[in-house]
Formats: sequence, structure tokens, C-alpha cells
Amino acid sequence: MSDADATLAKQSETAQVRFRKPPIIERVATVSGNISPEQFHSRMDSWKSIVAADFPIYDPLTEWLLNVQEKDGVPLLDEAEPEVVVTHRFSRRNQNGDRTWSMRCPADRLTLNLHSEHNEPHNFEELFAAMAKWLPRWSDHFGATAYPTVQLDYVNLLGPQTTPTFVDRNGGIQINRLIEVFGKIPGPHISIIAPYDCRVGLLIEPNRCMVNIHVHAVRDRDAALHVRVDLQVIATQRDPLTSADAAMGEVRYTHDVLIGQFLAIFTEEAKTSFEPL
Amino acid sequence: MIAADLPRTIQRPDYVEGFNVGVPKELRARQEPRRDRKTSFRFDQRIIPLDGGTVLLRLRQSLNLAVDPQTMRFEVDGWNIQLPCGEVADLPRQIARRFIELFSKADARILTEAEEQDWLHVLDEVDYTQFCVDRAAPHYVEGTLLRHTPVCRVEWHDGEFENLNPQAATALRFLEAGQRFGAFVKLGKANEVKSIERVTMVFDSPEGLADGANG
Repeated sequence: MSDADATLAKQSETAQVRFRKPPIIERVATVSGNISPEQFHSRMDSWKSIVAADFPIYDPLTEWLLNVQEKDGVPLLDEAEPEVVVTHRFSRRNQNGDRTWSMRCPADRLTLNLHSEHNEPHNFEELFAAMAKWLPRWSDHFGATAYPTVQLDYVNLLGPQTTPTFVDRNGGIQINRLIEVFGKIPGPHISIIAPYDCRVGLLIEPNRCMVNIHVHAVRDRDAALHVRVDLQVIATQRDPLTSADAAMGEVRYTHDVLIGQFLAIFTEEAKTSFEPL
Repeated sequence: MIAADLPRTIQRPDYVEGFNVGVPKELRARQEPRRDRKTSFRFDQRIIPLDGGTVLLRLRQSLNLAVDPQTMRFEVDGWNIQLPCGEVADLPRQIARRFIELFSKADARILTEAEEQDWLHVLDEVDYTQFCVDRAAPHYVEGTLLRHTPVCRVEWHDGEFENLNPQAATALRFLEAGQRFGAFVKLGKANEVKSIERVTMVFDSPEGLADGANG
């Protein structure tokens, strides 16, 4: 067995690992497709009616973007004009009014977001099943001809709600007990203070797959401290995939890779607290 | 351990809503922005669907939105459209509505002087020829299918020959070579066939045959 095969076999094995209380608050699967702008805009209105039964709320996302470039360490406003971008978003909410599922349709990709709920952490298989349902429809409707990129994002939140046993009475988070990297800072210190924003990229397979890991501090609406651990797997093909089935295979592959990284980045103590099934 | 008194924060649209993100400290503003100056933003969508997407309005360049920071409303340059910034997602519909309003009034010759200026500006901003071609109703023509492969080729009733695009050709797939047919066709900018619908077979009537035989 080659090294690559051994890695994949291990990833496949680890992908079976499941937890009762994982710190995952959102799972996001994205498949990009080659679609002409004419096809996209001419068919968006009818797409809205197709998705309405599963995603009854249409709430587009608006981003007002100021372009900033850095030159010799100095942040400058880019000469390009500021831009406003609107992304079609369809969603549904649970009985508490929280968004549980959403679908985003920029011009060249389909994104499905699955949000964890208070007593329902959800799982990848639900996201996979939803993508398996919607990707062929999206592809047929908009006439996608190739699928250059597949991406899977997991947002993990460490803090009072998800990992209470690692939070001290003052609201500080014992990050060194939770994650294997970016938490164990050598050298004498009392605590980590701002800024806390760590990123790393990993090459998994040349010309095929890379992982981005982003660990950073955030606050919620009540100003309570949390640490976000964002795991992102991006799979690309030198020759873009030509069928929705093949793209779904890549979604499964990105999950295998992501779970391998998930198991590696969290400590044994943290994983025990997530309650393996 | 991460101390609880961590960073200054701002709202940022992201995958996860309701959580704030620390501001990199090098992006501090030195002073409040001037309130009397409008900021221009480019609207990235240049194709506006009309008639449920069956017709597309193509903008020659991106729309320019001038945002007034005092009212938090924006105005679209040259279109006489003003909206609250929070309603920018509705802009394609508003553009479609304004265009059809001006188009209809121009057609009925009831544009006011101000609207006429707006209409002239709008005509410069959109591909009006393409719009007219897209919007034109299909018209009935007759022709003869010459062959399916390698490219579907027909001879029209006026003696012109044309190789059809693959999409249009699918409408004739059930015909045999040599078959005369009638159909409603939509033409493109260069008078080429864009689509074919409502295909019928055309046969010579017995009377016609008899006439022809007698002639």
C-alpha cells in the first residue's frame, strides 16, 4: 500500500468516528460549477420557486466591500472602486426561530450550511444527503458543465456552551487543554492575551487537496469569550470533474480529510469531553 | 489559558452569525469619516432578468451606487432610483421595473421631459439591440431539413441555407432529411436562428399536387 493509499485508508477509518457533543456549530459544503452568467441570471427566479418548499425564507446576503491593499506594510485603499455584492440565500428556521439550514447560490457555486442546534448537534451525513439531493437539481437547472472545486468547512466553537469544563470562573478558556497546536505557548506567561489569531495551511495531496486551519478568539453577543477553530478542506482537480456524482465523491473525500484533521488538532482530553459514540 | 478580557470587536458578515471577530490592530481609523461626502460602490450584477428570465437586460457597465452616509440611502447614477442601503438586494427588480416603465412610456410616447433624459441615459447604459432581439416574438417560417449530421442544415423557404446551433437543432431531431417543416423561430442579432418551437410537418395538398401535375 502506498503512503497516499495508507493515508486515505486511515482517513476513511477516522471518518467513522462520531461524538455525542462535538463543538461543531456549523458545517458548510460548497461545490463550484461552470455556469454562464446568462444561464445563472435567467434561471434564478425559477430556482427560487424550486427551493421554496425546503428553504422557505429568502434572505439574501449583502456585503459592502472596501478593497484594501497592503504596500510595504501600509494598508491602502485599493484603486478599484468599492463593491456591493448580493448573494442569494434561502433558509429555514427551527421552532425557536434559529436558522438551521441555508443554501447560498453565488453565480458559480452551490453552498449548503447546516447549523447545530441546542440539543441537536446534527452530523455530516445529513449535510451529505442534502447536497446529494440538491446538487443534481442545481446542476440540471443552471446547466453546470464541470465542477472545479469542492470545499468543506467546519466551524468549531470552544467556550461556555460547548466546552464548559475548560472555562474558568472568570471566563478564561484553558485552550492548552483543548487543542494540540496554537494553545501550548512555550515560555513563562500568565495567560494568552490579544491578539490571538493563528492560521496555517496544509498540503494534503499535491494538485488535489489542501487544508486551512484558523484558530482565533471571538466574542458572542453577551461579550462572553469563545475560541473558534475553523477547519477548511479544499479539493481541486487538474481536470475538473464532469458529473455531479463525481463531485459528491469529492464531498465525501473532503470529509474524510477534515475528520482526520479534527482528530489531530483536539487533545485526547477534549475529545473525551465531546463524548465519543 | 486565554484571558477573558480579549480583543476589541466589530460585526462582520461571516459563516457564523452572532459572533464577533477581533479587529486587526493595524486597521484603526484616525478620525471619523466626513459625513458630507458620498461613497460610490459598484454593483456587481450586470445581467438583469426580465419576464421571469426569458429576456435579459445586459448592462454595458456596472451600476454605480452613491451612498449618502447621512441618510444611509443610495442613488443609482442615471437611473433616478433611490433606496435604503438595507434594500440593495432588491435593486435588480427596481432596475427591471424602471427600465420597463421608461420603455413602455417611450413606446406610448408619454415620457415627460425628465423621463426622456433618463431614457436617453438608460439607452446608453444597456444593450438595447440585444434586448429587442430577445424580446421579439417568434415568427412562423417554413423550410426543408437537409441533414442532421455533422451539423444540422436547413434550407429556408426564401432559398437561404443555414447551419443550426445544436440547441435549436434539437427541435428538428424527429424529422427525416428532406422533410419540409414549418416552425416558430426566434432570431438573434445577426438574423441567425436562436431557437425553434412548435414544429409542424408541411405536405403538399392533393389539390396542389394535381395543380402541379396539370401545370
